[in-house]
Amino acid sequence: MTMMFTPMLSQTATLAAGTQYYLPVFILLVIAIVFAITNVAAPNIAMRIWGHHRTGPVKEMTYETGMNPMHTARRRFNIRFYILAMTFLVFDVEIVFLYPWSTVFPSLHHGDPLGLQFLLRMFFFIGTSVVAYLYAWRKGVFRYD
Amino acid sequence: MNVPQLITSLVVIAVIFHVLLIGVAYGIFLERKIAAWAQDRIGPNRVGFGGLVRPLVNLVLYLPLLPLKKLGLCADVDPDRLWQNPKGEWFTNFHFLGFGQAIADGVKFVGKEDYNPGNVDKTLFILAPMLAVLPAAIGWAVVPWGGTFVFPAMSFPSLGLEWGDTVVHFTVANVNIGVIYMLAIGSLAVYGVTVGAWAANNKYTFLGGIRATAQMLSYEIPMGLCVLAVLLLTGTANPGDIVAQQASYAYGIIPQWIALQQPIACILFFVCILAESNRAPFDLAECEQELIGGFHTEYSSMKFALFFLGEYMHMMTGCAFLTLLFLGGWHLPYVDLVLYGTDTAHAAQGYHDGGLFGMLHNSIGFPEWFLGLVGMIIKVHVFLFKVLLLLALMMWVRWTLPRFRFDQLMKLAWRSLVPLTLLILVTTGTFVFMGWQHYMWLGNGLILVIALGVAPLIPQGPPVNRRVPLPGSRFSPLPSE
Repeated sequence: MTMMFTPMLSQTATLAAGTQYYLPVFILLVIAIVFAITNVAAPNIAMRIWGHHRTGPVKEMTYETGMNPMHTARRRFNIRFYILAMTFLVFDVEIVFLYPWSTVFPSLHHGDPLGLQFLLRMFFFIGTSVVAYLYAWRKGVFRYD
Repeated sequence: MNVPQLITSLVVIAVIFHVLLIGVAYGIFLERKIAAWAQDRIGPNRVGFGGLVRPLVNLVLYLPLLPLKKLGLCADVDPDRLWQNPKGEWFTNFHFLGFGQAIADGVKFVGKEDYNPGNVDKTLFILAPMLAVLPAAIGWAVVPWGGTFVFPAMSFPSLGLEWGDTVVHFTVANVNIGVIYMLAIGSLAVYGVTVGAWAANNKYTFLGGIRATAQMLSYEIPMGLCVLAVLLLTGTANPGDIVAQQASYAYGIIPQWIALQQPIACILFFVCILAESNRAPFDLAECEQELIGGFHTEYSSMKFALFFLGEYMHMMTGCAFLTLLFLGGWHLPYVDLVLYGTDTAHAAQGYHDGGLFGMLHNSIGFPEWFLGLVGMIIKVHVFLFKVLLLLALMMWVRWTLPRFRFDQLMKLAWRSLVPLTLLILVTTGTFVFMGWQHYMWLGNGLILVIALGVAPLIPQGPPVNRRVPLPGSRFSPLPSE
């Protein structure tokens, strides 16, 4: 790959330097929020003005394949989902830390003494989470039977 | 303040937002057509535009006649006759290959009763569709739809604005963390599904919701690791630069698309965006046979439609992400050599020296901005064409593969994709350190060999659907001792 846009490590930036890039994103966000609210509100208002609004015990009922619902849906569920969420956190945070590394590491020149250091530190970092991964495997986190 | 870039960004918002919305409507139409093709049916082909236009036109033509008719005049004028030929055949019966179906479906959604069932958590119930559509609507902001072009110099003394020839990017925001932005916004999509499922207070939606949450969380990890494999090759997280780097040729002939360097990561990334947007074969959140409709069972009207809008926009953003990371974005191989000449790095900056455009610029004197605009429009179409091809592939996959079981889904993510993508990451890191970036395709062969060699050694665990004897259990059909 040709290195056309080499990031500079020593480049310092002021706090507000990049904010102008995000102004259109902010405009888009406002448009999206207005779009979402309009699409939820407009049919509701139209229904109140023109539509029929009938209700009744059967229509109010939770739809569970036509059976009469028993109990509420606020019940306990499988512990696996909690464990999964925690395992996800371990790996996701790891990946977030790898992004800055992955953009800086290739821009080092070939033969730079920092290169090996960068690589081995990354291997150590991945190694720690691989240990966590193997532990989780051994503990049966990834057994879904 | 970079005014030309701001103007371009606003144009992009106006154009691409509509492209995506219409793309959703016609994406559903395309899906139905592909489903019909896969099942050897015809699919939607009846609804044209006449039925949509006729009431409005009749209103305009017929309303002035009403007072005259009241007075007994013009009694024989029938507006319906306007739509018939002398033989009495309706002009509006042109079907236009069924292309009116998408719009008719949208109108139908608005016309349905917007009903909140009795025992839902009302605030969250109304909030959830908005949460589903918001990340989808802003996630595409950093996609470089059309590369760069030179904005012409202008000056508006009355506004105090003036600028020279400026290179602008045809994207909403040209930011150097664009890839991370897309991943971050994409992962917010899980909230719409989860909140909607929880708020509906229905056991089936709840099951669909936690399934969807688990699935989206699990597939985010291999997805992020695949992206890392690309970033290690490009050395930048700016989507525009990633595409610009792919718009060149190795040995002057092979396009430097990262899909050719990292084919395994490309395929795994496609699998991950299928799972992230809850598409078949990973659509466990809404499997009809088990969970009624899944997380959107209790929704109706436009709130229901917003979930689908979010899903389809998410699909399109995901396909755009795959296109820009692996498939060269707006780069059309060899055609750009004809248009821009061989100096691809300079052409990617928006200048025209070689090729057809260079000839038009230098010999005939077409202005730089005009050629840039024409080139940009071509690039946007190339990009959208690649996205559409991937969308069609997703729909084809949906009608080809059966749905996964939940344990298979989670095992695929955690026991296969995570180790495999970690292996890709480590291999790519080593190759980059050794300075072998251009031989990453050989590295992929190495990864394949290692993966195939190690796979038989991985413990499989007990079979899932085994018959459990359950001695003494209350589920046991046998009488307990």
